[in-house]
Order: sequence, then C-alpha cells, then structure tokens
Amino acid sequence: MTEPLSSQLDSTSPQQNRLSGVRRRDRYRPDLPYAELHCHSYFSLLDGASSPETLVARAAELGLTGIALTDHDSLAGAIRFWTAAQEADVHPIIGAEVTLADGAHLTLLAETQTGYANLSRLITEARVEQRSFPEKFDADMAWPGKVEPALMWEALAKHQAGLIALSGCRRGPVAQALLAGEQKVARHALVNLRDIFGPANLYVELQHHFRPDDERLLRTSLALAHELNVDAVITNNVHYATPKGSRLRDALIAIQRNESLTAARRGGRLPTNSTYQLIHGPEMARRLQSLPTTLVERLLINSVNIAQRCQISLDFSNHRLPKWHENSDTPDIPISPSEFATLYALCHSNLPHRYPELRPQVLKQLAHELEVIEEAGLAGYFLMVWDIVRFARAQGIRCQGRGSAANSIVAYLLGITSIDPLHHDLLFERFLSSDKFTMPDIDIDFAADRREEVIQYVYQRYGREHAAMVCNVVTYRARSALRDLGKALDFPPNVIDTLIQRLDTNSPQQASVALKLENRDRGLENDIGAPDPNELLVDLLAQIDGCPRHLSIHSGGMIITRAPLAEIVPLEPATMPGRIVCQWDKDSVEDAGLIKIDLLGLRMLGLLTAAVDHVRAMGDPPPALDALPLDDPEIYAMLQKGDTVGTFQVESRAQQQMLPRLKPTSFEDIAVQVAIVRPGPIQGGAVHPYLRRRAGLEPTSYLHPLLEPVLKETLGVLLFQEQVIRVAVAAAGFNPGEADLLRRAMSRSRDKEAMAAMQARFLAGAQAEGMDAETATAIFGQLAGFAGYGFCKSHAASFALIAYQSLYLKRYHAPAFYCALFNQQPMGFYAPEVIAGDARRHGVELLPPHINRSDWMYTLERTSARRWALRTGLCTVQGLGDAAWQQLEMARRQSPFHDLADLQRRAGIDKDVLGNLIRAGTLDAFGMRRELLWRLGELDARPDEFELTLPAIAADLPHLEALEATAWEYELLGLSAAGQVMRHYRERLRRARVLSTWEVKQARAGRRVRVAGMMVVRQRPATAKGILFISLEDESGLLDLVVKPQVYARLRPVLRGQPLILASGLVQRSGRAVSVLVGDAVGL
Amino acid sequence: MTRLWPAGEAIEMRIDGQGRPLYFSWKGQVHQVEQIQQRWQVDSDWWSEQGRVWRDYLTVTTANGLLCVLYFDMLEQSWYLAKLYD
Repeated sequence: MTEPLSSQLDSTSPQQNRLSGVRRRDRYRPDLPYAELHCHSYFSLLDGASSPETLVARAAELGLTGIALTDHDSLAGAIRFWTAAQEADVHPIIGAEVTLADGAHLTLLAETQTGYANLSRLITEARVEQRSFPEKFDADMAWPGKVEPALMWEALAKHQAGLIALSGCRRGPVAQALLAGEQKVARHALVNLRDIFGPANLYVELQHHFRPDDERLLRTSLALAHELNVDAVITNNVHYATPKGSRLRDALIAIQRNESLTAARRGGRLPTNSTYQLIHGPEMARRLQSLPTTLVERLLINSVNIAQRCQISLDFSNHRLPKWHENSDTPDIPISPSEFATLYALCHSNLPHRYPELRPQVLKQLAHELEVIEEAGLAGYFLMVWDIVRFARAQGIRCQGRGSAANSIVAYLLGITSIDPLHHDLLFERFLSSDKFTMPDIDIDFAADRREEVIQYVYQRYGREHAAMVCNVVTYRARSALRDLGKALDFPPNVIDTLIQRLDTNSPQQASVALKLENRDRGLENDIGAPDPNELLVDLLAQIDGCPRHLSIHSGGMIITRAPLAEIVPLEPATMPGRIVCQWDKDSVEDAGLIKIDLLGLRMLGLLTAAVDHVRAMGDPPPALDALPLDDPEIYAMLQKGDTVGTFQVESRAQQQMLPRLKPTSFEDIAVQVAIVRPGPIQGGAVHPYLRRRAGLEPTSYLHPLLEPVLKETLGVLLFQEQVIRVAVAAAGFNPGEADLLRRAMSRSRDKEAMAAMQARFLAGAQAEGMDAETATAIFGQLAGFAGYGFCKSHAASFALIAYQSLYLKRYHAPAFYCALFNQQPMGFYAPEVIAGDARRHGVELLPPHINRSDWMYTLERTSARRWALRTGLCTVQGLGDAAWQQLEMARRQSPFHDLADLQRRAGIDKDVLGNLIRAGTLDAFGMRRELLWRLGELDARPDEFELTLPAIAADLPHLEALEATAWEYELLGLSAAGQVMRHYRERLRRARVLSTWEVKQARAGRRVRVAGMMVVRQRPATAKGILFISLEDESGLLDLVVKPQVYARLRPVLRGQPLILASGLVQRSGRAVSVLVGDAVGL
Repeated sequence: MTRLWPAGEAIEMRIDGQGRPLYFSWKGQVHQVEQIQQRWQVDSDWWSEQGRVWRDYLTVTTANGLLCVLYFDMLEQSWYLAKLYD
C-alpha cells in the first residue's frame, strides 16, 4: 500500500455529512471511473431482481469500467452475463458471493483461469461434496437433495489460487463482527482471510446504503484495514439494475419466506431502502462524502484495478471432450491410431449393411461429412454417441436419434439415427457445417422406462467427475407469478384463484398487459396516496417476466468433459435421488463451447418394445419393426380416416382434423403431417395454401423463381427448417454454414441488433442475385416468422418412422398394441377412457379388473382359440399401492381367493382399499357390489386366524343401477371396462332426437344438430384466436366441438363444470373432417 | 422529555448551495443546525394502504442545544421534525 488508509481518515469529521436526496454541487470529476465488483442477478434466486443482460446494459449506460457477477453460490448466470458483456463491450468479471459454513458471506472474484476453476470447485464443494453425497448412489441410501450451501474455511484455503477475495457485505465475517462490536472476532476473521489469500489478493469490502450504522461501519472497517495492512474497495452490493427493481426484490424476499410483504417488513427482512442499484463513480463518491476525497478516489480506483486484474475467458471449446481412447476400458472398442481413424473405419464397415447397393453419391456424401467432422475435431463426439447407442441396443433398450442429427449419413451409418439422409434429401449443414461457430447437437430417444440405465452407463463410463445432467432454469409463468406475487401483496386466496382462472396466457408480461387493461378505468395511483394493489401487481408481473423460480433437471441433456466438470461449471444435487446437475442450462452449455448429448426418454419406444414382446408371447411371429416396407396402403387408409388414437405424433385432435384433409399417401407425407401441425407453419400462414395446392384447388407459386428448387417438394410453402437454410443459400447467396447461423439467430431472436445486421446481409445478397428489395424483404419476413417454431425435416422424418411403426402395430397387432399403450400411461394426448373406447371400436375386448385373474399391469388373456382380450390391471384401482399388491399376489399364488372373507383374511388389505376393490368391480365374481360392501362392514379383520363364520344378517339391498356401477368404475379406475358411460343415456337421448357422434359425422354441412357425450379433451391453442376445441366422446367415437369466444363466455359454467354435456350447433365439414360449431350447451 | 411525532411536524428549512441544512423554523422559532450526527434513508411500505414511506433522515444538534431527528420527505419534497430530545 502506498499510503495508510487511516491517515486519510483522520481529517474527516461528521460535519462533512451531506444529504443524499437534496441537490448539491458535485465535488468529483464526472468521469470518475468505477467498476461494480459485487452484483447479483436474478440467478441469486429469489433475491436478485434483474437479468444478467439488463445489468450489463445498465453498466454500459452508466459507463462503468467493469461489472462483476457475484450471485449467491452460483454461476448459473455466468454465460449469459459473459455473452451479453462481450456484445455490449463491457468488461465482465466472474465471481460469486459464497456462503461459509457459519452462514457468513464472502465475495470471490476470478482473476485467472485457475481462479475460475477454483471458484467453480468451491461452489461445488459448498453445495455437494462436504454433504456426504455418495459417489455411487444406491437406491436404498437417503438422498439429502437440495441443501443450503455451506463452504468450509479449509476448502477455501485449498482452492484460493487465482481468486481475489473481498471481505463481504454486512453479513461478511468481518463486517458482521464489527457491527456486533466484536473487534477481536473481526480482526481474527480478517487475519484468517489474509493468511488464506495473501495481502495482495484481499480487500476489505465497504458499502454505503444510507443505513443508520453505515458510517460507523465504514470507519471501523477502514481502521481495521489499516491496522492489518489490507487495502479496501467500495462496492454497492447490487441487487437490481435500477431503483425500480427494488420493489420486485422486496417481493421476491417475501416470496422466499412464503409470507406477505408486510410480514417480511415487520420481521426486519426487507432492506430499509432502495439504494442497491447500479450506480456510477460520481454517484458512489457522493455517498462517501463523509470521507476525504483522496480516500474516496482510492476506493474507486481500487475497484477499477481489481476489475482489470480479472482477465478470464468462458470459452471452453478447446477442452471439451474426453479423449476417446483414454477412457476406453471396454475390450470390444476398436482401437485405431486416432479417433478419426476409428470413426472412418466404423462408418466404412457399416456401409454394406445400410447401403447394399453402393452408389457414388453415398461415398461422396460420406467423404464430405468425414472431412467436416475431422476439421471440427468431432470424431470423438460421434464415437461417444455411437458407444452409448451401442450399449443401449446390447441391453435391448430401443433407441433412435431425433432432431438434426438425422441429416447426417455418418450418424445413419453408426446406427445413431434410422433415416437415410440421401433417400430423404436431407441437409447435412443443418446439423453441422464447416464454419466453427455452430456446435452439433445429437438428441437420442430411449425407451422411457429404461433410460436410467443409459444415464448410469454414461456416469460409469466417464466418471461422475466428468459427466452431469444439464439443468433447466424454471422461470416464472403467469400462473406461478400471480400466485406468489398475489400472496406477497396480501391478496385474499379467492381473489388470486379468480385472477388465475381468468388467465389465458403463460407469460407474466402478457398477463400484466391484460390486467392493466382491466384496471384502466379505475384511475392510476399517485406516488403519495395509497397505491392500488392491482396496479402494483401489474408492475410486478411485468418485472418478474423471465425471472427464474428454481433450477430443475433438464429432460435428458448431459455434458461430458475432459477436464473435471466441477472446474468448468458448479455442480449441485437435484431433488431427485442420485442426480447431480450442473448450474448451466442447455443454451449456456452451448454458448460455453461445450457439447451436450440429449438422452431423452420416449414412452412410445417402450410401447413398441412391449408390444413386440406381447406379440411374441401370444405365439405369433414378432414384426420386424425396423425393416417394415413403408408403403402399406392399409396404414395410409388409417391415416386418411384419422384413425390414429394412441399412435405417435399424429394422434392429437389437431392432427386428426388435418389428416382427412392432407390425405397422406407416402412416407414423406407423414413427415409433412408431423411438421405441419406446428406453430411455425400455422403462424407462417403455410397450412391452408399447402392443403389447397395439394388438393389442386390453387396453383403452386413462389415469391421468386429462385425459390422453386428449394420449396418445390412442399408446394411453395415453408414447412421445414432446412428450407430456411436452403432459401438463404439460393436467394441471398449465403454459404450453408452462414445460413444456419441466420436460422439460429432467428430462432433465438433475443438480439434485435444481430437480426437487423442479418437482414441487411440477406437483402444485399438477394439484390446481388437480382432480386428486388420488396420481394427480398417479404422472403426474409417469412423466414423469420417460421424459423423459431418449425421442425427440421430430419426430425419430422425420424418421428414419422416411429409414427409408422406405431400405426403398423395398431393395425396388425391391436391387442398387443393397446395392452402396451395402457401400460405406458400416462402418455400421448388421450386419457385411458378414450383409449378404452378406441380399443373397443377396434374389436379389442376390455375385461374388467378381476381379483384372481388380473395382474398388476394390463395383460392379454385368451378368450377363444383365436381371440385375445385385454385384462385390466389392478394397478388401475385407486388406493391399491404396490405394497398391498405384493401381499395380495403372494397370497393368491398359494390359491385363488374364493370369497371376500378369504381375501380379507389372507391378503391383509385394509378395509378402505377392499371397499375400492369391490366398488371397482374386481370382486364381482363373489357377489353383487352392494352386498359385498355390506358384508365388508361386518367382517372382522384378523388375518391368518381361523375364519369365523358369522351368521349372515339378511338385508334387503337395492340393486346397483348400471349407471352407478359405471360411475364407481370411472371414479376408481378412470374408465369402465364394460363400456362408455354414454350407453346408459342412449335410449333416452334417442327418444329426444339427440344424435350420436357417429350420426353427426354422417350429417350434411350446415345442419343443426344436438349431440351428447363426455368432454375428454378441452384445448385452447395459442394459434386459434381464443377458440376452444372440445373432443366429445360417446360409445361410437370422438367428435370435435368448436366454441367461439363469445359463446364460451356464455356457456363457461357448463363447459368448465360438467363432464357430460348436451350441445347443439351447426355441422361443419372440411374435406372429411367434421366438427360442430356450438351455439348452446347444457349439462346432462 | 422526548417528544415523538410519527407523521412529523412540518418545518421550514434553509439549506446551503451544497444541500446542507443550515436553519429551520418550528413554531415560530429559528434553530441553527450545528452538527449532523447521523443520516439514513428509508424507502418502504410502497405496497401498504398507508402509502409509501420514502424519507431521508438526519439526527442533528442545534446551536441552542437541541438534539432532534428531522426528515426530508422525498415524495413531497418537504421537511419535517420527527423527534425532539430534551
């Protein structure tokens, strides 16, 4: 230190105090430089109120020399912060405010790359390692789950290299002691820190927030710093970019404690004022005007010097993957001189299998891809994915690559994907291009029930030090925001419920706008009078948009790295036992230059496996699903009818409406069908032109002749993401890699400036190709509207293949298909009751659950030499848990139950569950349900004792109405095996001239009809302008009802409150798709 | 005897060019501010029915020996006497 701090301090006196809120002349140079070294973003969960991007933008506005991100025990926002700072040309410092084991806070900043690795390691230690999280997790172990972070001083001492420490806020080990008047403790803490970090890397952290004891703390801190020869620096412990954010922060603190703002204030948990925003040097100097000018300048300059010392990079693209051979302890992994040679050899050895007739085009494409892969250094990545897929197949776990990877012939040859990219004219550049900016992304679906085995394999193969799941940042949705903010503002629960019921958006921002419109007539609050709580809610809702609520596990993303992962990104335990997640989400992982692999669980793949197993068990030859010819007319007939309940991707209500209009006749059509019912094509206005052109009702046209070769296959409209790339190449002369960057920019679209630059580049390119500006702008607009929401063709084709396989099973192996479908529930679009109706309509008899015949799951039961029926599993009976089932099954194995008393005596199930078993009909073989219930009441539960024969009390019990039996079954099983509930009403409905859904489908367009049924699906798609679609089911099938908003407003109590309705309206026909435009409805 | 006015007694304040309080008048008497002992800011209750409280507080001693707490109301832009110690 050049000059002792206290010598400067001596010349001050309290008289020099000035007020903050009153205008005064500025004694300091307006350009007094300052860097903010202590700043929380909203990744300090429920404490910080601003996004990393907002903080960076504000720092740029204020002209700060640098800004640090120091979230609580977290680097979750680091990549977003870093990226934003690069773009805004602001110097970023990466740090964290760590929580020590005694609860004290300490500010750490990464000076060097080693320092960054240590910081990440320390946060990991604070969150995982010292909490005895087992290295190898066993299902029997207790899992601590998410815990409060706590860092030991010893860990700090071990990993201090490359870090600069600031002594922390008022909760720092030094300030905390000083505030308590414990000089000795404070001195001891500072000495400890000095011993750990060395005097050059430790600063006493000062702050001034106009709190009553701030001045005193400043002085005592400075005196201690002087005494121990440690320098000092000023920070503002920022929690929001501008003072406006202080309200959201107050609310978040209340939310954190699940209390109201008033309660939080009374408990002393809210900050006293709103001065924790970003400020510039002169403003900071004004806060410190009780100190001598030279000292203030020094505190500010120190912030700048520290900022400049911190020079690190968050680009990890250089050391991202483990070396393939390093980890190869599996004996059957081929060893070649290099990863690339191994990949090359594998691809070529698989050529005869995938391409029995080898064409030059195949070799040309393979050579091209291998060249790009070698150049990008990604051979090891492909081998890694190949290895995972190979493992899964060896274990009989069905899997298939989805997404853009199916554009690659290498992925196809390695068995990662199942679609031949050449046959389907797919575009490799959508997956990987020769420019180095884009990272490939391989997503693989595994049978959901066995995905865990694959994840465990990856952990075991690369070690927990090198592999972790990617996190998912769960941000506030309109619903959760309303609930939490409403509670903070002390809204009565019923008011919050009403507000939530009225929501028609997921976005807090849009909810805010809607609420504001409702409030408009009430008159606005002024700042002095009592605030209108509704206005406060409007403001907070808008502010909370994008704010994370918590981190969860991504559905399947894993990162695998060469360096220990904990040195790249902090790891923390998830709530799910055995799961460790990293603090970055998939975007951050990608922006850090790391590669992730998505290991997703797909129930449909489990269904396919199970269905094939059932077929085998039934004694039939199992279908070779992976070698099906894709041109079976029976399958296309099903599709054209919309007979798709339970199948993959093409089963939803919207898909079923589209199918009879699109009339698929080829595999390519199924890919189109999968891709067309998506927000991209719907919002891009592509659907109707495509259908009309397909039906020959209008000619195919193009915005410009240059687009014809690209869009010909989809009749001139944009349906696939690859087409965005190809259009940019054809119309504006982009190279494919560049064009993919354009697509990515469009699909992320956070950055308006980048988009504007892209547009300029596109327009210039198009002009060079001889296109006029108007056409070029129109094309660019279409691309931008589409890019974010479209499917890529490779993905659509991969899914179309699974769709075809599921259709095939439904068509030719219906009992096996439905059995597997029931056992995979919940999955897909429909509830079990709808699937049951569909099964019946396809001739598959559904047998009720039976105490002696049912297994736990659904099973197939032979009813005659050639017929199989589906036996409902006991797992469907509400209240019968796995443990009770185990007892029951064990007793049943000795001998079948012969009556109720026998069941109760031997299975030891409690009476409530027995009641459910009776009401659900599983004991119908033993007598009438009411009678059994009566007898149940008389039985004495003494398992394993002699059966007591009690004299039966004769009671005259009323017979159970068929309708009541069905109602009980719906209540306890979710469906009735005997048939759809509407059959009980049919006779009366027929007399009242109410049609069945089948009859409505035969009626001409425009006819006024009345139809009754059960509402099984209610949907209001964002793309449908507030229209509500209802799927109405009766025993003859499903029918779409369309309810316009003004009608809905009138019928809301009926349509929301009643499961069974009688609706009247006009028949609408569009091709073979039929719906009813509802005019009126009543509950049945 | 210490007197406390939660809402504050309106006072008239004269400040210097740098915003430093010099004199205030209360109940017809003029008091000269001698020393500022402490200052702090409060911004709270923006959600409550009573309305937001946003004030700059000062503890000052006056030339005639009074110790008092004053505040400047940021919303109203006016001065108040909050507490007087005898």
